[in-house]
Amino acid sequence: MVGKMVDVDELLSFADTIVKKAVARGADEAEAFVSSDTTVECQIQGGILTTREGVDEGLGVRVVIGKSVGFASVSSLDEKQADEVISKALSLAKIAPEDPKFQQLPDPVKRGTRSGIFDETIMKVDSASLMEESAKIVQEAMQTDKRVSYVYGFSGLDYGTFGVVNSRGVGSGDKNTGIGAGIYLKAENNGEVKLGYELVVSREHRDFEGVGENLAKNVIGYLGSKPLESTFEGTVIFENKIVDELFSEFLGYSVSALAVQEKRSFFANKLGKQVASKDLTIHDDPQLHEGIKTIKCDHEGIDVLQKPIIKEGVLKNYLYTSYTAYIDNVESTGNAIRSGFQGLPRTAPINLTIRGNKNLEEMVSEVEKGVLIREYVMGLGHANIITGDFSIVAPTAFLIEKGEIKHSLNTITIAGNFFQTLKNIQAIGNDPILTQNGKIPTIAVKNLTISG
Amino acid sequence: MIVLELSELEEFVDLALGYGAKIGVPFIEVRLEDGSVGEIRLEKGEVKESKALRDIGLAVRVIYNGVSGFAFTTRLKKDSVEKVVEKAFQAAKVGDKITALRLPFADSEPVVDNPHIPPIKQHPKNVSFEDKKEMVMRAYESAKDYGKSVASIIVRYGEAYGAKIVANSEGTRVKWDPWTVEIVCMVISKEGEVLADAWDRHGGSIGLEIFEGHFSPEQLGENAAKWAAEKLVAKKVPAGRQRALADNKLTGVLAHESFGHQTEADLMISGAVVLKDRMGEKLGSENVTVVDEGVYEGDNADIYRGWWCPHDDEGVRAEKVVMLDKGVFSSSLNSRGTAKYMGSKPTGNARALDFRFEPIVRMRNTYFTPGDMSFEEALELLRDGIYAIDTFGGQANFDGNFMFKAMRGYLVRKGEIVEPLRDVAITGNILDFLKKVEGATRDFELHGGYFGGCGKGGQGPLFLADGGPKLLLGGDGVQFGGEM
Repeated sequence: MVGKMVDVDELLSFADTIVKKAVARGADEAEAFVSSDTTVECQIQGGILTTREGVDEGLGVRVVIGKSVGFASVSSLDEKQADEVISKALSLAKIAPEDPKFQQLPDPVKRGTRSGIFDETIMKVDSASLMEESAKIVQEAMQTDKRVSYVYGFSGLDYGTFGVVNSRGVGSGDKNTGIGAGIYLKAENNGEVKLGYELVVSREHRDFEGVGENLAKNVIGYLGSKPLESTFEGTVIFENKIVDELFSEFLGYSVSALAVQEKRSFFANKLGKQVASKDLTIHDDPQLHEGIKTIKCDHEGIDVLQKPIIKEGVLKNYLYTSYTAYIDNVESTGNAIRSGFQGLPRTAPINLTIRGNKNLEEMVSEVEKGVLIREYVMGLGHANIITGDFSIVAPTAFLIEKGEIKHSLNTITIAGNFFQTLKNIQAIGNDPILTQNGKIPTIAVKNLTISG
Repeated sequence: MIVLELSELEEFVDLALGYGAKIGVPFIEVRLEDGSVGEIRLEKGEVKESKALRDIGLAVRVIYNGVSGFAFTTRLKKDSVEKVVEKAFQAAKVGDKITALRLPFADSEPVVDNPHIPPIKQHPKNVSFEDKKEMVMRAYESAKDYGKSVASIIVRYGEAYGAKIVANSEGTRVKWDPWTVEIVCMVISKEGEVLADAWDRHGGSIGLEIFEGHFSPEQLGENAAKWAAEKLVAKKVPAGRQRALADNKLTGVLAHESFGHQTEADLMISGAVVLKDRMGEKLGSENVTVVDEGVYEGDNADIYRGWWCPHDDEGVRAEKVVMLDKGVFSSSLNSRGTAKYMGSKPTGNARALDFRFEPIVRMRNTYFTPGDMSFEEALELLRDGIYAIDTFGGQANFDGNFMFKAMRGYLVRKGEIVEPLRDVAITGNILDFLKKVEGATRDFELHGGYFGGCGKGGQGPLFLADGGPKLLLGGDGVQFGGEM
């Protein structure tokens, strides 16, 4: 399929008519969010091939009557359907109780921002070439070693446009392209099973040569593991893709101004205070040129803002949508993100970036006793997001003693607290990888309880 | 209420089928969905969000030499629908050239059916938004009254309902109206630096009248508040192996996540799971039987209906499958494609999240069957151990390893509940776990609803339900996480 794209102006003009109609029909304020997204995917799971492609378009309308807000959406850009959505949103706002904290929909905020990389060639990639790409990843992995017993390879692309207009003069949008591929594989030897996973994402067209082979080699390297048979307090080196999951989960939640205002964030009342090691600086960088989520404006049409979240260990900023910004009487940081036309804006970091200066070898050499974790762990998603307590299970890890990697380990568990972890950072790697959450390096953390 | 009659849209089903025939597609399946979703979220006594979504779209799947091609659109127009048929056909033809494994469909007689929903008193579509808001407020007020050091109360109501048509070129045409509702009340209590959270919830393909009985909003709010307060002073679980009694909600998650996925035929065929070639083997004790069925009609079905799923998204009638029969691995869950490969029958387990996805093998209502013990007898047999309750979620890997976090628990000594415990993490391997089941209680619950669901294959959250009795886990015990 050769892609065609609905352009931003087209969406904005449609959104504008919706907003005008909503106001004419009784809304004090109104906002229309419109998007059009095309997806093409292909996966090969243990030899079974499936593909999927399609266009997903729709409209979400937010209306305000007094201090009552109503929201309705439909998966269509049809005028008749749009009229019905306006009616539904109005009727919800009329019966919804007042939200005393709600002040207004946002006024425009301009910050001279720009779009991220937009690569038109991605729109010309068809399902046939994705099938070949996925097949290549799978084949590479299978051919690397006969102990590779199961491979799940996939690739996909998407491109889309969104536009948001409100009755206070906001009218902005952006477009994006993205392509990615991933692999999940299992290696088996004499009853021992090790798993590995890799995901590579990009805004620009690229091939994925080597992705399957690299992961297969890594996973083969985990075979021959031995039990730890002890419990000790030591250093854990979390490789970048695990840091990505750990940090995006805890930080994303804790720095949300909504969680802070509602006193369910560990970071409440900690602005300007030391919350992490002096070596740690984390930015929300929505203008990172290659960043997967890079945008010009957020999903309320507010221009995004580059900002530190933690600078040299000090908590610098909370993330705001217009709702929470008006409550604190500050300007929105442009962190209102929707899950699509069906969602209301939520607070979310756009691209988290962390810089470090050490390579993995140096980081390992500084560890007296600890472990290196290279593959996904279980239990992160179920950590206590409020207190920061986590207990994770790592099916693959390497033992480190006296600055050297000793051998692969059987499943171990690691217990700690995320917020204590921020203070106990021992080293930060110079190996950031581009992920869907930002650009994230490897990080070594001391004083965690390791057992197995 | 915006309701376009699905019949107005049915012409697009015929259009797609007709166009498929015209361009020579050997097998085409068309699915049209019109779903409505409503949510109310209340925090600190204020309604933060009320929304109504409508999701309409069309999906086309083509099977060509046992290879599938799939495409969807939200654009219900003649040219867009024809293009979707072309894309699906094209993808299947390209796939035909490079695929390593083919899954031709098992033969099936055309299915023509239009099942009526089970009798309920109050379908969510017939209840006003005001009344739903009132239920949410009642849960909130109750949580506030019973809570201690309450830092936050969140109450959510969610509903989804709609109409669906599945038709194919063999003459199958099935229409039904799935629905689900749920109320969740979550309370966070705080004393000094100690935070504790708990929730209570109920939902499923049930009528809203169920929330006037045992699952009243007041009861849900009171439970969440009491449990969160109790956890403020609760001790952490001593690490290591312990005998345990897992409650109905926790066993449900184990039935689905750690065992159920192992029996999904697509994962068995592709070699992803440890049960890939172990059919017929005795895996667990006599006390474990695991079932997955489309329509639960057992005791208390009006309360615990779970997810009403009379057909799957290939139109196949939902069969009751006994995957584990008194410990023996007896059946797998199948779609039409996997059934032929497995030499089995389609079981009605081919499900799609929505029209944006193609059906893959998924569960419906998955549970351990009840035993004959009372709760007291189970505690007595447990003697010393941990009573682990509900879950905040967890994870299970294809290798059988799992980790679940129970929401709360109690220390049991000499068959008596002694004191409350905080977040309880349980880890283990399902094959090991099944052998340790020493018994099951009589009481049975099936939990589903609007919030949560299964995320297999990037298609989540998919509505379903899981449940069971309380299970007594003996042997050398199960592994509990330590100090956190």
